[in-house]
Amino acid sequence: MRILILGGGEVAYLVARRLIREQNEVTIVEQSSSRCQYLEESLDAKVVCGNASSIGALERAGIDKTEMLIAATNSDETNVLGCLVAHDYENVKIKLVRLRTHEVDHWRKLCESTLGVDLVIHPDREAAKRILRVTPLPEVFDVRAFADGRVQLFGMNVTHSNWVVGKSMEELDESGPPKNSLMAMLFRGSRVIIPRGQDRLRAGDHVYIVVPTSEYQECLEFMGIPREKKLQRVFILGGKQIGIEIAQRLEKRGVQVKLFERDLERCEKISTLVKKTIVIHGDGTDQGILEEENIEGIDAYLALSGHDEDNIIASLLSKRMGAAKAVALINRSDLLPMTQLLGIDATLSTRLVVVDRILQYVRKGNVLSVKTFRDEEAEAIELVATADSKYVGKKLKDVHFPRGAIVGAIARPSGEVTVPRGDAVIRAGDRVIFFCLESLVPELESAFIAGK
Amino acid sequence: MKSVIRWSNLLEMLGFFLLAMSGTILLPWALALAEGDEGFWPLTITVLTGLVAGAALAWFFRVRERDFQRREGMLLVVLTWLAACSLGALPFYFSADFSSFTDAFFESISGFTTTGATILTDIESVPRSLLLWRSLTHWLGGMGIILLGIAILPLIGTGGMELYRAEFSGAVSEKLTPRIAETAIALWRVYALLSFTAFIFLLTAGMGPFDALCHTFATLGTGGFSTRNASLESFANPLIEGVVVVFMFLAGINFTVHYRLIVERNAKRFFGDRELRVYALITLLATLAVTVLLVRNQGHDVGDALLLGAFQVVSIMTTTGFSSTDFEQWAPFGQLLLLALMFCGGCTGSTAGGLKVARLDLLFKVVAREFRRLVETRGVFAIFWEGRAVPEGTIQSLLNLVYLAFLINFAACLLLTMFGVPVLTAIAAVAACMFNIGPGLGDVGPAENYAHFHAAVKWILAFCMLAGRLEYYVLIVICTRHFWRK
Repeated sequence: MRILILGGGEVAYLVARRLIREQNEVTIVEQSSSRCQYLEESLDAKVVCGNASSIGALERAGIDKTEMLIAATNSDETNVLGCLVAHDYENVKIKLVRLRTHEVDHWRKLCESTLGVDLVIHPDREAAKRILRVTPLPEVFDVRAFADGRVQLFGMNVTHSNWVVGKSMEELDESGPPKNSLMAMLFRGSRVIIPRGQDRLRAGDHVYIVVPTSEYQECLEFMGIPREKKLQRVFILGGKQIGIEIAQRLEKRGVQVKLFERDLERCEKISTLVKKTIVIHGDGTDQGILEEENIEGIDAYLALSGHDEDNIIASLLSKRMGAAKAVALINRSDLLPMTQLLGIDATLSTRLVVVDRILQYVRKGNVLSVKTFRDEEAEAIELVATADSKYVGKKLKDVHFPRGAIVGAIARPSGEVTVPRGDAVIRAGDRVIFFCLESLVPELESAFIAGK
Repeated sequence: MKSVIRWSNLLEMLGFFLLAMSGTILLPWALALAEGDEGFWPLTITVLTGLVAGAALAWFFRVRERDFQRREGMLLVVLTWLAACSLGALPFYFSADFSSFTDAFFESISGFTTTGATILTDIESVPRSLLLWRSLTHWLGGMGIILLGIAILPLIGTGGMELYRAEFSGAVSEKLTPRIAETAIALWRVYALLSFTAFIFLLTAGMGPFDALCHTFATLGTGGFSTRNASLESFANPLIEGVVVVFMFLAGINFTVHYRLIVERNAKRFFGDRELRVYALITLLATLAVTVLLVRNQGHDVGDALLLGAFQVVSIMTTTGFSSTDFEQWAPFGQLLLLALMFCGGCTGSTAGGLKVARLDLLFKVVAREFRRLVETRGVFAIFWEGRAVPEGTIQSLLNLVYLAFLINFAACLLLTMFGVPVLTAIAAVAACMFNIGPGLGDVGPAENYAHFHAAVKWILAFCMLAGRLEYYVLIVICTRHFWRK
C-alpha cells in the first residue's frame, strides 16, 4: 500500500518504520531539512522536504497515488489542511489525523462528515485513558485488551515483598494459578526475556501476564495484587492538557485531586476548567510544598509535566514521601528502561500511545492488531491463522517455534478463549495472540499467514 | 549514533555481492563453454573463487539485522567496488594475454568504472569469451554494481539510500519510488530496455551478434572497450556509427529522466529537464565547431565531417571513448575542445563520468551570483534550479566536489610526471581515467594504449578511475583518520 505521512516527528518515524517493514511504500513530508536528511538515512522511505499543507509539496510526494494518509505534524491546522487536500483525491481511501485541540469532539465530527476522515487521534485523551486504567491497581503499570476484550494483558512490578519473588515459572504453575494464564514477557533492566519454565522471577522485574477476561480478577489476586480499591486522593504534576483531562475524569468519580502548576496565569486558566480539583500554584517537585499538601498516604502521584526529567524526579520523590503509586509521563523512549531500574511504578509515553493507536488501525489483511512494548523492543501481534500455515493443525510442543516468541492466547471463532499449553492445537481461523522480540516479527507473521 | 563499524554486517553483505557478481560471470563462461576457447579455464576458476569466497563471507558473518550506518555504507560501497574489480581481474590474470596482475586489475577496473582505457595492444587475439566479459564489466559498472545488488538482493532497507547516493551520481538525487529496492529495479529496467533496443539496432545495422552485444554493453555503459584493435573505425560502416552516436547520447542522459518518459510517459518532464537541454545544446555546439574545423582544415566533405564530428564529440562528452578516427591528427583547437568536453561529461544520474553538466551549470550560476553580490553588497540571492531554490548546503558541497576533483587531478598529474610521463600525456591520461573516458591525447591517444606505463602509474590511474566513478568523496573520506575515529 502507498502511504503518505505528514510530519516527520518521532511518531511518524516509528509508524513509518513499522509500515515499511510490512512492505508498504511510505512517503514522508517534513519541513525541516536536517530532519529530512535524518529520515532519509534511517528509513527506506521517500522523504519530501516541504510544508505538509502545501499543495505543491503534497503533489511532489505523490498524493495522486496515495491510498492512505496519516496526518501527524505538530500543528492541528496543517493536519486538517493536509486532509482537505487529500479529500480532493479519490485515491486516498483512508485518512488518519492527529489533533491536539481540546475541542477534539467537535473537530472529530467535522472532520468525519466533511473531510471523510476515518480516525481522529487525540494523544492526550488516549494517554489519559491508559493512565486511568492502571492508576487504581498498585503494582500494575499497563493493561491492554485483545480479541475484542476477551483477553486481557497486564503488566506488573514484582516487588520485594511479593510472594512470587524467586519462584520459577514451573513452580508458579504448580502453585495453581488460574489455569488459563501465562507469563508472556519479562523486562529486566534493559533486557527483554520471553520466559521459559526454568526462568525465575526477581524483585524489580516487570512481567506481562495474559489471561482471559473472565479470570482476570482471580489472576490479579494470585499474583499478590490487592483488589482494585477506590481512589481517594490523587496528586497531578503539571497543568498541561493531559493533566486537566485526567483531573476532570477523576473528579467526576469523586476523587479528591490536587493539581500542581508553576505558572500562575496557567493556574488561573485551569481553575476555570475544573470543578472540584484544587489547583495549586507551586512546584510539585518541591519537598516542602508536597509535605504541606499532605502527600503522605495519597493513592497516586501522576507526574504529567512536559519535562521528562521533572517527571522522573517527582515520581521518585513522591514514592519516598509515601505515595502508594507513581506514574510518570516520559516522552524520550530511550529513558524508559532506566525508569524501571529507578523504581517508578508505571511510565507512559504519549508518542508510543499514538503509534499504537495508528498501527492498530492500519490493519493489514489477517493481522488484526499490533501492540508494542518498551520502545518497540517487543511486540504483541494478534492475527488470524490461515489454513496453509505451518503452525496450524499441530500440537504446539511439536512445532518448532523460534526462541524469543510465545503464543499467549488463542481465541476461537466459537468464543472460547484459551491460553495454550504444549498440547493445544491452533486451527485455521483462530485468532492467535503471540508475543515476540521485535526482530522475529516478520518471520512469525509470514509463518502464521502462509502465502504472504 | 553508534560510530563503530560493524564488520560482520559489512562482510556478510560483501559476500552476497560477490555471489551476485559470480552469477554475472556465468554469461561469458557459457560462451567459453560453447565455443571451447581459451577463456574457459580462467573463467571457471573465477566463478568458483567468487562463489566460494562469497558464500564463505555470507555464511561466516551471517547476521540478522541489515541496517547500515552512514560510515558503514560508504565503506561497503568502496569494498564492493574493490572486490568486484579484483574478481573481475582474475579471468584476465589467468589468461595468456596479460603479463601481470597489475595489468589485469587495470583492465578490470577500467571496465567496471566504464573508463575503457586498455593495456591490450592486440585486442583481436584475446579469446572471445574474455572480450565479452571485458564489455560486460562496462555494462554492470555503468548503472552500478551496488544498484544491481540492491535491485536483485532483497536485503538492504535502512541505509540503502546511503549506498544509492554513493554510487548513483547526482547533484540532487531523488528516489523514484519510496522503496529503494524498487527504485533500483526501475532504473535497471530502463537501462536493460535501452540496451536491448541498441542491440537490435546494431544487429540491423550490420554487426554480428557477438560484436553487437559487446558494443551494446560498451555503449550503454559509456565504457568504450571495443572488440577490434581500431575500435569503431574498423567496421567502416556509417550506419553503425550513427546508431552508436544515438545510443551514447541516450546513455549520457539521466536515467531517472528516461524513466519519466518511458515508464511514466511524461514527455513534458523529459523534454523540460534543464540538464538535458543544456547537455543537448553543448553537444550540438561542439559538433558544429568540430564539423567546421574538419571541413576547413582537414578537407573533409560536410556529411563526412558531421558524422565524424558528432561521433567524436558525443563519444568524449559521454565519456565513452570509442574512436572512429585518430583525433590527434586534428588541429590543436579540435583536440583541446575534446579535452574540455572530457571535464564536462554527461548528465547526473547517467552512466557517463566527468564533472556532469548539471554541476557545471550550477557552478556557472554560483559565479554569476557572486558578481551580483559584488555590486549589491547587501543583497541576498537564491540560486534557482528548475524553478526551485537550491539549498546553500548543496551549493557548498558542489564547490567542494569540484575543488576536490581538481586537487586529485593535479596531484595525480604531478605523480605521473615523477615517473617521467610527458606533460600533455600526463594531463590527458589523468583526465581520461578520472572522468572515465579511456583514450586521451599524447602517448595515450586513440591509436595508442596504456600498456607502456610503469606499474605504479597504472595503479595511480586505477585509483583515479575509481575516485572518478564514485565521485571523489567516498573514496577519499575512508582514507581520512576522521573516518575511523569513534
